[in-house]
Amino acid sequence: MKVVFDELYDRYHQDLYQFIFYMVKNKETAEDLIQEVYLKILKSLGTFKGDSSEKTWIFAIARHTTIDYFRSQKRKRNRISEFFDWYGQGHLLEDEEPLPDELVVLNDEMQAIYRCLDKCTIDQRSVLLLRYINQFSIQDTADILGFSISKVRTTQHRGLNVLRKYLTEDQKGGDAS
Amino acid sequence: MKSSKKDDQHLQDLLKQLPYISDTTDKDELLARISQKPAEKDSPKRKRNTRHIPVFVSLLTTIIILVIVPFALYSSSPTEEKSSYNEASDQATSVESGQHGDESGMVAEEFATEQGSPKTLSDKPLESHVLQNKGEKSIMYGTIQATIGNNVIPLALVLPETQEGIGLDVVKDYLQEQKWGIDAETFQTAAQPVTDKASYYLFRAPGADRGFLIPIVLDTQTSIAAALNEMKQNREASHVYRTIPTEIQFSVSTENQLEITLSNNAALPNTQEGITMIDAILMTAKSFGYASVTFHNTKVNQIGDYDLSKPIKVPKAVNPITIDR
Repeated sequence: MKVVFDELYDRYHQDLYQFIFYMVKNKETAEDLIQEVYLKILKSLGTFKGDSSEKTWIFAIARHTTIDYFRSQKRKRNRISEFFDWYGQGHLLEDEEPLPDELVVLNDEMQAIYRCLDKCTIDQRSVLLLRYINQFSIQDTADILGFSISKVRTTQHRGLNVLRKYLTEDQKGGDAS
Repeated sequence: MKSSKKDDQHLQDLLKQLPYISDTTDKDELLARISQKPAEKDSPKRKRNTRHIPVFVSLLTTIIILVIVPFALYSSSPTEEKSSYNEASDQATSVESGQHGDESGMVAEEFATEQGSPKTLSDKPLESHVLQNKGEKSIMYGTIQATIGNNVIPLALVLPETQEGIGLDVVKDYLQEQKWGIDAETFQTAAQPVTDKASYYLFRAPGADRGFLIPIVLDTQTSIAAALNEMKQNREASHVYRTIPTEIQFSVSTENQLEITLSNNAALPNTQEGITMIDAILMTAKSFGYASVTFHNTKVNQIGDYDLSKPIKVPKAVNPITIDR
C-alpha cells in the first residue's frame, strides 16, 4: 500500500489539498477530509476501469467527500431534512473561520475574493476552483462534476456573476450577506 | 458587454492568484493516520451494520432454515427482500461481474462493461423507468439525493387510488437506500416534477440492483439534437451512465412532434438497454416540451411495451415506485 500511496501523494496531493481547502476553508477539516479521500481511493482502486482519467476520477472522489461533509454539517445545524438544491440555488454555510496566514498578507481585493467564494453555491464554487485553482479544462471539469459542458460554462458564468456582485458590495463597504 | 468580459477576466485573474495553501503534514505521518482509520468510513449506518454482521448472519441462517426454505417450496416467484442490507455480501458483488441480488417487482438493470457501455442481464424481466399515463393514479412527486456524487434523483411515488398522501416514514420503508445508493434522509416532496431542459442518464450505484434515470440540466439554448447526443456520454466518476449506445446514429426532425430516424444499420436492441434508451429519450423530449416521439428505421416494431410503429407519448413520470400501503 505504501508504494501506491506514495505514487498518489506525489502526483496529486497538493492539488487535492488546494481544492479541498478552498471548498471547506479550514486547514484541519481539509486534512481530515483528504485522509478520507485517500481511504476511498485506495479502497476503490480495484474498481477503477480507466475510462476516465485517473486525475478526474480522484477529484470526483474529493468532491463527493466535501459534499458529504457539507451535508453532515448542515444536518448538525438543522435536524429537519431539507432539500439541497445542488443544481444551483442552495448556498454553502457561511465562513466563520479566520483568514489563513497565506491570505492575511494579501491585499484587500484578494481577501475579498476569498470571502466572496462563500456566496457561491457548491456547484459554482466547485467549477471556479477546478477551473482556476486547479486549472482543469472545461471537459475535465464536466467529467469530475458529472455536468454537461454547457452546464459547466453556465455555472462558471453564474459563479463569476456572484463574485462580481459581492466583490462590488464589499469594495463599497456594504453588507455582503 | 465588453466591460462585463473585462470584469470576468479580472475575476479569473484574481482567482488564479489565490495563494497556494500548503499542507504541512508529513507524508509518512499522513500514511500512518490513514492506516489507523477503520476500513469503512463512508457512512455511520454501514459501520453499525458491520458490527452486527455475526449476530445477523446467525439469525438469518435460522430464518432461512425455519421459514424461507418451506416458503420457497410453495412459492414460484422470489419474495421481496425486506431484511437488512449486508455490507459484507455487497462487497462480494460487483457491477462488472454482473452478480446481482434479485427482487420481485424491481427494475432489471443494465450494468457497465469494462468499456463503459451497458449490457443486459438476459434472465431478468424487462422493466421501464417511467410511468406511462395509464388511467388515473395518485402520484406524489419527490426527489432524493444519491450517496455517490451530487445527483438529485426525481421520484414518482404511485399511491393506492384512494390515497392522497403518505407519511415520510412509510416512504422511507420503500427506499432501499443502501442497496440503491441513495440517502433516504434527503427525500423531499415536490409539487411538480422537474421541468428544466435536461438530458436523461442512468445512475446506478456499484452493486445496486436497480438504477434511476436522472436529469442533467442543460443550458436553455441547447437543442434537442445536442441533448440526445450528449446522452451517449458516460460519467463514470459519478456512476452516471450513457442511455444511448454510441453505435446508435440518428437524425432528428422537430417539424411536428419529435421524430428520430436511425441512420445506420444498427438496430435498436430489444433488451433492457433498448427500453432504458427509449425511456431516457422520452423523458428528455418531455423536458423540451414535446408530447410524443416517433422512431423511424428501427428494424424492430416492438421493444418491451413500446410499439415503435406509432408515435409514443411522453411518460407521465419518471422513476416510479409503487406504494401499496
